[in-house]
Amino acid sequence: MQIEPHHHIRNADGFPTPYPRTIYHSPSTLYSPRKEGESMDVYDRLLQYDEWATHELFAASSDLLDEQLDREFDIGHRTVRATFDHLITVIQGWMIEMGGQPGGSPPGGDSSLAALRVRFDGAHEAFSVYVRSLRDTDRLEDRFADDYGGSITQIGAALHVLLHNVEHRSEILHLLQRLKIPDVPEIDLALWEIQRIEATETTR
Amino acid sequence: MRKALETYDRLLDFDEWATHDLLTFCAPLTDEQLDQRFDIGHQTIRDTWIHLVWNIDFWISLMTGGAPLEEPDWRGISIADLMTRYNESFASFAALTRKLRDEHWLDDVFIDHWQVKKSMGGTILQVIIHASEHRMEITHMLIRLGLENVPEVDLGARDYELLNC
Repeated sequence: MQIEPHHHIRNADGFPTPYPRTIYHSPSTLYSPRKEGESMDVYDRLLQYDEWATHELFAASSDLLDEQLDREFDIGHRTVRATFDHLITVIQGWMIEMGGQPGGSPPGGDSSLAALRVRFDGAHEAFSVYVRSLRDTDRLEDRFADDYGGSITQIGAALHVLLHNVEHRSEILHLLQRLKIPDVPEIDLALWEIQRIEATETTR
Repeated sequence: MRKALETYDRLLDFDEWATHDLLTFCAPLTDEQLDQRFDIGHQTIRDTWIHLVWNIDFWISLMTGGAPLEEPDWRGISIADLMTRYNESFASFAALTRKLRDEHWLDDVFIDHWQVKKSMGGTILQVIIHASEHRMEITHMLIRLGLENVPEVDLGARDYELLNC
C-alpha cells in the first residue's frame, strides 16, 4: 500500500490535513550503494533544484491574467508579478556585488510573465556558472565588501541568494493558493530529487 | 579571523541560528497569538513550529533505516518546550549530516515512505530548505499579528554577523 505523502493531502481550501494516523511501515528501508557517475555536488544540487522549482512556478502562473498577476495581497512583495521580478532582480544584484556579470535583461523592462521567465533564465545561468567557477577555483571563501561597508563571503552571498529564492517561492505558492488556481504545484526538493534519480536510472 | 566554514556546516549553522532567532522571538506570544489561524501553510504559528520540528525527526528516522514517524500530538506545547525538542532533534540531524558527509555517504540512496529513492545529500538539503519555507510562513504570520521588529533571518544577515560583529 502506498500512502499519499503528507504534503499532498490537502482539504478543500488547499491546506494540509493532519497526517494519517495509520501509517504504512515499509518492510525495510534499503540503502543502495552509490552508482558510479551519480555523485552530485551540493552546489549542483542547490542550483539545479533552484532552477527547477522556479520553472515550476512560472509554469503554474502561465495562465494567470494580468489582473491576477497584479492582485495585491498582504505578503512580501504583494503580487505574483512583483515577487518574480524581485527574485530575479536580487540574483542580478548579488551577482554585481559578488564581482560577476549579471545575466538576463536589466530590471524595469518587459514585465510580462514570458519576459520574466527569459530574464530569470539569463540571470540564473550567469549565477550558476559563476558559483561553479568559485567552487572550482577554490574562491568560495573569498570576501568582498557589501553596500554597508561590511565583509561578506562569496559562499555566504551565493547561499543567501538560493535561500532567498526559497522564501519568495513560498510566497508565490501562497499567492497562487489565495488566487485559487487549481493544482498549485509542490516544489519540494524531495520531488525534484525523485525526478532526478528516476531520470538517471532511465538513461542507463 | 573566522575559520572557513564548510558548506554543510554553514547551512547547518544558519538553519539553527535562524530557527533559534525566530523561536526566541515567539517566546512572549500568548496562546491566542500562537493559535490564531491564518490562511497560510499549517495556519497557526504553533502548528507550523510543531511541523517544522517533527519533520527533522521524521527524516532522521527514514535516513537511518527507521519507520516513518507519526506526527506527534503536541497540542498546546509551549515555545520553551518546542525549543528543547528542536535542540535535541537538530543536534541529531547535524551529527548525522556531518557523519554522512565525512564518511562519503551523501550520494547514497535510501527508500522513503513513498517507496521512492532519495539521496542522503538531497534529503539533508530538503530538511534545511523545508525549515526555511516554514520560517517564512511564521514570519508572515508574525507580521500579520502586527508585531514590530520581526527578525530578518536570512543567510546573508548571519554571514554578515559572523564576519563583522
